[in-house]
Amino acid sequence: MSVSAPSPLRGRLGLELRFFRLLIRIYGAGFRDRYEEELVSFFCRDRVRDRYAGVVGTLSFWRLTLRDLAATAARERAIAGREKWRAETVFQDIGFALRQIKADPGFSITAIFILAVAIGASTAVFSAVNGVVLRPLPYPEPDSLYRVFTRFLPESGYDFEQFTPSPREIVAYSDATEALVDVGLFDGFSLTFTAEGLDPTRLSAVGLDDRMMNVLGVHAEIGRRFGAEDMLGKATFTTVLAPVALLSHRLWVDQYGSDPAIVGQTMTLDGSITEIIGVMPAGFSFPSPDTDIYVPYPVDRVDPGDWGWHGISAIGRLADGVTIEQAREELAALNARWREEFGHPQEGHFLYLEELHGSLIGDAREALWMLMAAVLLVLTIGAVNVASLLLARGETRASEIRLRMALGAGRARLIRQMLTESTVLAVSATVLGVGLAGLGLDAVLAVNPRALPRMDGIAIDTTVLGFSLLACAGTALVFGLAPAVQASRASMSERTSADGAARKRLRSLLVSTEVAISVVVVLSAGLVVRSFTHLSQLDAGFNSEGRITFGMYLPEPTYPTNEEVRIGVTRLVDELRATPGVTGVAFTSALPISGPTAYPDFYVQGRPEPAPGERRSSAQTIVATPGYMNTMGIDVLAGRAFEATDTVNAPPVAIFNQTAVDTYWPGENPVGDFVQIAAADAPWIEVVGVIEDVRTEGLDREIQPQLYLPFEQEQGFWQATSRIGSFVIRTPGDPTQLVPGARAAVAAIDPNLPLENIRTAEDLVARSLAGPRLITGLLGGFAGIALLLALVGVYGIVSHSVARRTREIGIRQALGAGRTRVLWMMVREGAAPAFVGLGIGLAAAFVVTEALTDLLYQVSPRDPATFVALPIALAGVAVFASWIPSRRATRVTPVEALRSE
Amino acid sequence: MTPRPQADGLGPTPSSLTLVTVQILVSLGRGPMHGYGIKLDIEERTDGAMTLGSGTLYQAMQRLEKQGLVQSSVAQEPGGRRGRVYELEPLGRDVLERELELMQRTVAFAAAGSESPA
Repeated sequence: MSVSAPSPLRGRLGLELRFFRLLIRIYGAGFRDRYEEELVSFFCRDRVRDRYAGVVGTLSFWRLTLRDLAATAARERAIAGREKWRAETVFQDIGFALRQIKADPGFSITAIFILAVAIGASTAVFSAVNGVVLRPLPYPEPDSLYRVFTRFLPESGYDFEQFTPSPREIVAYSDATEALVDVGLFDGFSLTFTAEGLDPTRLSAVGLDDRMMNVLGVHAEIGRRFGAEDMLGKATFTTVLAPVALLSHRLWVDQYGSDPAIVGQTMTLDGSITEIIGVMPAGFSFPSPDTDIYVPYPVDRVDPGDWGWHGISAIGRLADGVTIEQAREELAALNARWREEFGHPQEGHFLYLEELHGSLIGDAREALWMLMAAVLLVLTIGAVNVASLLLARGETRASEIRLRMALGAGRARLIRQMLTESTVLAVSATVLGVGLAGLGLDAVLAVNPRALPRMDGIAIDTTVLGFSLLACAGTALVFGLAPAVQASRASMSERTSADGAARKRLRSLLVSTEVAISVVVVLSAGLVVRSFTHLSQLDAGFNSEGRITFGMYLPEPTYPTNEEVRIGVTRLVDELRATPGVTGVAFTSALPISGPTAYPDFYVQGRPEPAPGERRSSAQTIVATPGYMNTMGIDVLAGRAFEATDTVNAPPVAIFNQTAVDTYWPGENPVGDFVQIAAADAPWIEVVGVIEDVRTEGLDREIQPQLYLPFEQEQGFWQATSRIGSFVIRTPGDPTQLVPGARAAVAAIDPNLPLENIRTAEDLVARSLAGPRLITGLLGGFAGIALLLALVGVYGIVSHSVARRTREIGIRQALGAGRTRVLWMMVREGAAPAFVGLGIGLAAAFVVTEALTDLLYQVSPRDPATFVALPIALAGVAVFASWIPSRRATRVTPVEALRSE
Repeated sequence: MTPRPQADGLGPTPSSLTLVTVQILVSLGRGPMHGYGIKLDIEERTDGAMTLGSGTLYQAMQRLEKQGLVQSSVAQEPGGRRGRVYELEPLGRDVLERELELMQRTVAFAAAGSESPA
């Protein structure tokens, strides 16, 4: 039977408690087995006492805890009889080291603070690398899972590096493959959940075909998973009938209070009754942690639709013993066979496999490794900096060391003593650093919860603590060993001038190293900051001020026909327009920066159909009500915007963006031309206007040709995509103030319509930049720390030199050396090693920044401006850091100087 | 080195007890307590002058249990949770009494200046 602290307490102390548990492993196994739970219980009760509240309290608590731990662990091990004499010496060394720290608090606080910041930053970044990149996906054998994409090379008539496959392609692949266990399909969408006494809410849903759960290798925790019998009806572009559903663990807990009798209950989704057949396990989230509910995604395997109907996602799992190379070879052969048998895929278009983990995290992998590299460099600078401090202190401790040697301490014993001191410093810094990392992570995650994929998995766990301990040991060794050897060697004999020179050389070397590393970090950060500046200055193509947007879905049971959707949207627009404070309202199928949209081909009247291999005309199609351009602040460059007269009965019209004009009408004006969308029974449409480019996918994505259609006319010939769309509302005031009014207006038309993803237009832009902003901010911060530490190093070496050379300076001045000459002599002391470091750092950066290529937007990794401006600035700052302490040297009077020794 | 209970039942010689050990015995002299309770009790009695860390406390408890001065058992705490509670063995009580007596004599001796002890 063991003692345990109240569990809420333990939860609150999470991180600190885990760290304490790690620390008490220092005790022998016998003692731990008997007292661990009691130690933990003691820790929990003690930690929450009022006297240990706040930062000062926390520090004082940990100081006491560590002191107790250090003192008792050695004694306990000694009692256990294990390596008795050695433990006692270690105990002695630790005690001595603690007294040293107390004796020189200025030095100790500086050293611990520098290391804590560096170790804390490394720990925080490593926890992100661990959570996003290293942590395996939550499925069995996740490394065998691959996304299936299609690629269109220009000879196919299109040009897309990565595109979603069509169900027909995937069904063919799934039927033919032997290298894969199977290929499953999925698609993400939203479903409206209504229940009595509850506001209608939109649930994030994922449709899975009958193969997908087998591919992922997952089972329901309660109930059963989808089988072929659940795949009723046929999924269409806009509607998924969900006769049955599996709840995510989160929804089951939040909405149903973990009801164990959940299977067989029903819920209302999109106005129709759905039976709950089970609950997924707690750790399962697919494809992202946002998913609330899983529904069947029926695919007609006999007639899975047109080959070119792209728009679903697919994942395959490698069969046992099959390598990815073999699977790729098989797929290449299949691509060739299909081309021969069905004429599809055409030349330059093929299916390919991409590792699932990589496709989920995308650029974040490179960005995080870059941050990790940067932060490890900062850690190195920190360690070098403290080495420099210790070296300087070694000189002042020379007499103490000589005394100890005279009393019989061997060299090895002295080195061990000094290494123990370094370790005590490093351990204190690590404790503080891990605390800082925890606070920092909480802050970053609170502000940017979605800036990076898989960010929900970022936490300081045992792996991360293991890394911190490694960082601790590594830095202790780096900054402790050199000064320790130096100090003990120097003390073997009387101090000689040769020792002094050697020590000075070592310090100069350390300063050069610090500066060189900081140049690499600062230059890399400079490039990334420049890239981010480019990104943030990009014209999104619309005015984001004073606009609020929200998504809306008009469900099929309530709005079964196109006509009813048209009437519904029109009434909503009118009602919203009547809301006080609103100066413009529009509805669109795709807001800016919201992701890809449908991408149909179109023909231009009077032009021959393109030959195979020739560029086909296709454009992202966006539907909008009259007033959209005006409400969103999009400039009309030629012709006109949509007008209220562009109704279902009026002649059909269309508007293109500038990129479409540049691509398909280079040097011409398309206004007055007629185009036809490649869909059944599509009419010829007159081009009536050209508008500026609006970024639909992401700020850093290439702008695609875009085709805008009036909402009312689109209903006639294209599939009814517009029952899903978004409203944008313009106001001269604060747009967030409009939300209650908008809610009331929507409820007045249909109380069962939830407002989804309510965001200001400014937020749309900001979200697109959240990842780059976070990475840039962090890297900039690290560069700042690196620079500061390097400057402290330069300042330190000069300042130390001034203090030691007071007498020499006095004599020089007495002999007639001018103040300026003395000043520059001293400035050189710091500037010379700094410039050596600058040179080495520049050369290194020239090679290293190449690795940033993929992360930079419109900036060359060897951007001349960055490579010239930053080093000049750094040189200036290095001279300045040398100049400040050098001024002291010039104030020395000869009399003072001669008195100084 | 480790003091052992002696055949005469008088336990370790008083001088082998540390101040921490004495304080723990004094606390347990007031009745059975759990580990953290002992810490709080000592803090209260010494006005915070003696603050035990967990390692120090349980190391002492381990020693005292081995010496047979203290025994522990699992019991229901006031909060309803189950926890380990320590109490004095008869031997521990004897040792404590002897130690306190010795202390009193020491204090009296010190208070009387350089006069010889009574």
